[in-house]
Amino acid sequence: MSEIKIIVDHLRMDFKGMFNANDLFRAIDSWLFEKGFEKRTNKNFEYDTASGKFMEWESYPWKKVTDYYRQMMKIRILIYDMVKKDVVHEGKKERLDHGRVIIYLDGYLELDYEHRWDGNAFLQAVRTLFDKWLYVHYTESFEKMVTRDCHMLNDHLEKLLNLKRHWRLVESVPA
Amino acid sequence: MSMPETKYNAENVPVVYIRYKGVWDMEDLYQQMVDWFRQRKYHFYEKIYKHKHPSPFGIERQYVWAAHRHEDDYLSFHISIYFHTYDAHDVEVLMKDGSTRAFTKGRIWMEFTGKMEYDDEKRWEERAFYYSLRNVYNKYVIKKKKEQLWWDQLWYREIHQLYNLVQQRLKMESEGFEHRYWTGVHR
Repeated sequence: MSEIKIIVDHLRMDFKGMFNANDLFRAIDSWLFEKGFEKRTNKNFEYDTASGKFMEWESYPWKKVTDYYRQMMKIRILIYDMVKKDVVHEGKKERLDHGRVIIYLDGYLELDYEHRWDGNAFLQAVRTLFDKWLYVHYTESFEKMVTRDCHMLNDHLEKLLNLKRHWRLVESVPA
Repeated sequence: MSMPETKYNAENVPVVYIRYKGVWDMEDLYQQMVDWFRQRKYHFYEKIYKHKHPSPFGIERQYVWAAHRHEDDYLSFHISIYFHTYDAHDVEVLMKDGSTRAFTKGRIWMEFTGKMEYDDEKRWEERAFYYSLRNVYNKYVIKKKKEQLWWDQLWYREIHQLYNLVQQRLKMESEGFEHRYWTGVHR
């Protein structure tokens, strides 16, 4: 079996308010497309309930970094009580969604995904030796890539949902 | 006797799922999906159609579909769909123009998957030598083509397009996908 390392564990985002659900999914999709991830959607559930729509969407995109390392992510989105609402934006009427959105991001690094080094115990020992000592810098640099990608996507979604706090640059530090 | 299926003569793609609870137009969904296969020149088979005894909550139906298409002399695409509806019952829906139509209310579970099959006419299985030659060809000569071209075509151009069609017909929020033009604009 290949070795899967958990690098980012449950990066969580909780949001309640107005958003556009289709834009949210498309934003994730386009981000993954731009970054060269392959698409794999494991869950796409949508329920009409009395208090609004409930949705669960889970995706495991992956990217082959080398013949040995593979970067994986798990994106899980839960949307509760989603209802359509009319809003006026810049003088125009728009139909948006209102509800609670919870997003979990996990990042993994899979080593030896082609299972070339797990035929017997000796090969596995050699693999461990290389992963932990000889190629440790490569492993660490790919771990950093996973962390960077997860945080970049998190930041991208925070911007989309307008979760960033408003701030402005000051020229001098206030006393 | 044909040789067993190995990773060198057939390769699977992952499975995508849909679970939906609400109201939908079953006739439209069924026709659109079958029409999609027909337009794309697939050989389409409805292998199983099971209508179970109605429960107090509604009707349960099961469909198993299979379709395949020869891409060239050596490669063919196979698509499999498992389709299950639960607690389905007819409801009258008032359309925008004031007319009424019969829609279905209930739950749906769908699975989409597929595989690429090489040498499906079994031309390279007559002798053990031919068989080994085919394995070498698949494993080394066309490896990149398999991984980077055919796999993407089946996964993004065929399966995800059909998956997206179902999302559109069910009016799901997650409809649309960025990879729609990944393998070309005109197909």
